[in-house]
Amino acid sequence: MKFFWKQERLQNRDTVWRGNKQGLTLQPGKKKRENRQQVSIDKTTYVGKSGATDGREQRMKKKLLSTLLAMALTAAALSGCGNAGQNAQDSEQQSGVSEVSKQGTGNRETENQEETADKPYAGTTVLMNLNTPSESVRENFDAWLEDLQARVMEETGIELKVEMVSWGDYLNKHLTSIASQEGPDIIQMGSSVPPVIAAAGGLLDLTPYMDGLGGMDVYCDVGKYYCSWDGKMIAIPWGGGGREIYFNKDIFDAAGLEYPDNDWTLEEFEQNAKALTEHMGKPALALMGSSNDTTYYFWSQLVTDGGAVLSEDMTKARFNEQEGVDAVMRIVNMYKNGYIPSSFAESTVDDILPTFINGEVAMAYGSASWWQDLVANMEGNWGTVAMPVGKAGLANGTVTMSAFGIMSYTKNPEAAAAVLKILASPEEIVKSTAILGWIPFRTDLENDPAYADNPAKDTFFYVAKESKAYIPQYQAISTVLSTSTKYLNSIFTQAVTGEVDEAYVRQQLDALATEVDNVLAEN
Amino acid sequence: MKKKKQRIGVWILPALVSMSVIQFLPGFVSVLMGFTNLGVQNITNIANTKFVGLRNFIGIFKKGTVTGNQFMISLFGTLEYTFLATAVTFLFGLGLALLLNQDFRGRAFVRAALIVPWIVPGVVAAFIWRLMFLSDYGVINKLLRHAGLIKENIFWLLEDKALMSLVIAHLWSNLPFVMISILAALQTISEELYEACKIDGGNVFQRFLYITVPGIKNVSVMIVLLSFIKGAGEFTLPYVMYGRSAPPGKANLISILVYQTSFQTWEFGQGAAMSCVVLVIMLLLAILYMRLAMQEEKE
Repeated sequence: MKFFWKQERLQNRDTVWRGNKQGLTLQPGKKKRENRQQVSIDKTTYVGKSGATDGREQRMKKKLLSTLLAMALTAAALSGCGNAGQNAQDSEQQSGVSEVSKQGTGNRETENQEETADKPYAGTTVLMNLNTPSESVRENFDAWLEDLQARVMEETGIELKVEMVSWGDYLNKHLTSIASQEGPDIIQMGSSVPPVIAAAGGLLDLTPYMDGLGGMDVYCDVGKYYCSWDGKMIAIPWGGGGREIYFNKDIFDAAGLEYPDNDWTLEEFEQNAKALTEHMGKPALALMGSSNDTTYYFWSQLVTDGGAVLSEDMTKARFNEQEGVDAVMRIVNMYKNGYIPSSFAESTVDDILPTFINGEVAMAYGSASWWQDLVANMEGNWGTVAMPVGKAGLANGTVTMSAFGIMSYTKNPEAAAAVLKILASPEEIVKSTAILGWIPFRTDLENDPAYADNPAKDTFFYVAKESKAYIPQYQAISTVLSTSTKYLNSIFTQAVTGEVDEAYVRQQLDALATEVDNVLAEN
Repeated sequence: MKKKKQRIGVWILPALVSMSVIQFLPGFVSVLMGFTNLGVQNITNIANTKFVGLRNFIGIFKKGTVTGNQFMISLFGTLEYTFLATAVTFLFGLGLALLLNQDFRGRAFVRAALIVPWIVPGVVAAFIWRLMFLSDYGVINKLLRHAGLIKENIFWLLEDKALMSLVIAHLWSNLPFVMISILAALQTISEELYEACKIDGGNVFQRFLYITVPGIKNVSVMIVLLSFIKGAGEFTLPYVMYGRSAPPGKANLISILVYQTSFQTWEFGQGAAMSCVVLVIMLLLAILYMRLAMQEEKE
């Protein structure tokens, strides 16, 4: 682009710079306000002492004015950046492109008035944030999204826009959206996230919409529990899996052991670990002693034995009661007896998968998402079973569940609910979860042929239907979790590097309980 | 002269405005946040956020509380890590630079090979180091066992060794930068100076002390300062090396603690207060260091 500069003597402070097609022209004496960008220039800054303009001063003026122009452009660019976070609807209302687009489609809308009469949300845009799926399923997932957008448009007239956000920082993004009251209308959340966002007032109560979303009865109890807050449904279960025990069939066969059933007990679990360790001549069970999965495992063990994580009114820690001490000691003793490798104290659940695939261990505590890796790497010589049960029955509420929620600040709750109705419909749940390798949390879909290829589906459905949730629906749960993990990791580190007995475990759990009580009191 | 200064002022104005908006404004907001109770409970309505004075700052220094204990452990851990990482990286970098400044066969290959860690992305490097440090399956313990140096596995990622493991990984990643910078400075020192010293009877140590050290002093000051700043703000390494778990004890560096406080437990005010304290400490240390370096230069 070439700029032409027309210089005129500055006569008064009303001189304005104005852009036009030819370039930028200095036009004195005009104060007319236009939408175009204007920068007032004070004559006192630029007129020489004598009032005359010599060549040097003119060059200076050019430099100064170009500087100011650059600043104005920078400011414009920065203000443009500031709009980036606004939701789709607002952006559309404000951007010139959308205005043009709307004008262009105006006639067509009139022509199709009859056609759109049954589409009360025609012309509405709904923005949905989904968490990025793994690369291996991305292509199929994107294809499903395109079909979904087309279906939403066809059935409701709503333009569904989708933004992918990473699992690592999606909660930060949503909290930022809540703070600014601008952002996606529909979001995806992991199982422990709904209470955090709900406590911040960020989620719409979906209870009135439940009839249109399949009704309460179709969702399994664990799913409903994690999607509830203060007696209201604040999210809709999408899909996921649970935490299970994976076992290597070849090693079980070689050791002459029967494959475990979903109702196996803690004692049977330990007997299997012992027999397999003796057969392999090395630790046969992989557990993790680091990361929040450690706490989940600990909680499930104490709950299955009749204990509780927190008191019912969530004012006091209860995990330091005898059931909690027993649960920790059970892990410590399995290490002491040589059933678990010493590396468990530093391992996360991510470290366990390769050891199981490589046949280093015969049993492993793992995530539901493992099955695709196992199918690819272990053929059919593996199986999965629910967590062992204690005196109080199955307590495997550690579901790796994803749920949909509608943000409370949305300007179109009805349109968002209409989209959610399609998203939560059996056919879309089946299509999407089958692509992602998940199971649905709708009990009416258990026998759908889409899940036939998933060798772990029976265990997953069993866990989803039969297990009870134990992670407290509590707004500061992440603080409780991270504090618990820190203490447990410290106990297990002490176990592998020194000595740990029941008195030590009790003392550590009491100290942890004191800290958790403080957190509960503060919140 | 005055006019010239004004002109310069106008020229730097755009950069100043951009810097203020992009860098200083978030910093200022962060300091302000340190004096508020901003957290998940009032994020929907920032108007409900209250000014709490020094409460957050008192909280992070309060003995016997979760936050207070963790903050002090992380703060001293970060200082220890920063001093160790800076010292070790500088000394190894200096040694290698002196070695590579000598003429020997295959020098070009060795130089190129030593630069490789520099081009490996930090996230990849941290992940590889985690795998190598794992006690049962990591290659480091396997090598040490095969060499007969250890009988029992070392838990590199646990207890006090966790900090040492971070320092080792830091050394590997940052060594090339230090080595190349010192090597470049070494190559500006004239050979004649060494020859003159030799003729005057100067031994290796004296040549190093009176010719090499003054020759690399300026660049060394900068390297130490930059390493110090990088070490104090280290995030990627512990964050990736410990995956989903928090680094144990002192290895839970202050940047990780700030992240955990702000984005895992959602105490933005407290997280901001921690950042402010670290900022002040690092600023004071940097000023002290620069002053000492400049004072020596004057002398």
